[in-house]
Amino acid sequence: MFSKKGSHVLILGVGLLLVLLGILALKGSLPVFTVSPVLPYLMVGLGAGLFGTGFGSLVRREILQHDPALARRERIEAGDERNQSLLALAKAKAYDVFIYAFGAILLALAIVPEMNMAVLLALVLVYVMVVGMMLFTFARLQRKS
Amino acid sequence: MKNRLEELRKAKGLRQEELADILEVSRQTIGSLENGRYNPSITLAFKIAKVFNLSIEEVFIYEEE
Repeated sequence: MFSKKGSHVLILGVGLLLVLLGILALKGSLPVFTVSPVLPYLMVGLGAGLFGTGFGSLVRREILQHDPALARRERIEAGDERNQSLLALAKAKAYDVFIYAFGAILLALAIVPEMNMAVLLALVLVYVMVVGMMLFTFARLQRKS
Repeated sequence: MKNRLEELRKAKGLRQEELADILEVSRQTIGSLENGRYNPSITLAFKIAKVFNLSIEEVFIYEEE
């Protein structure tokens, strides 16, 4: 739908808009965004992140367009099989740690008496979805390979 | 897996960066291959062997564990 450059500009624009709206909401100029007291801060934080991502991508794109040798090195680094293999191993390790760490946090939250059940169930759902995604991807890769 | 990559590269007068450029991999990959810390995919092994006009078995040395 959008060109690569267009999507970077869109991300940058949405980020900028969120920051501006967040600042206005913080100053009380936009009552509609003060439904939650943390919403303006979230908007500024998320907006700054999106703006930085979009701006960085645009600058990177411009630099690479004017330096074909650097663009080739970048392409090689990104497609390097050792890099990809190490990245996959690092992600797998992070998943293993996540399973135990997040599981322990869920158990700890479950025994807190005043814990909101809806929040706890949402966290359990996220946990189950992550494990489900791993099993689904594994099964899909088994079929494909 | 052991290999003769460093010996073959030096015999051909190539620097690690140059071999990496030919093979379209990172210089670190060449370093890891030469140190035996990384075993290449079958595709990369074929590409390496082709650069030196050798067979895979002449570049990589398989040893029973």
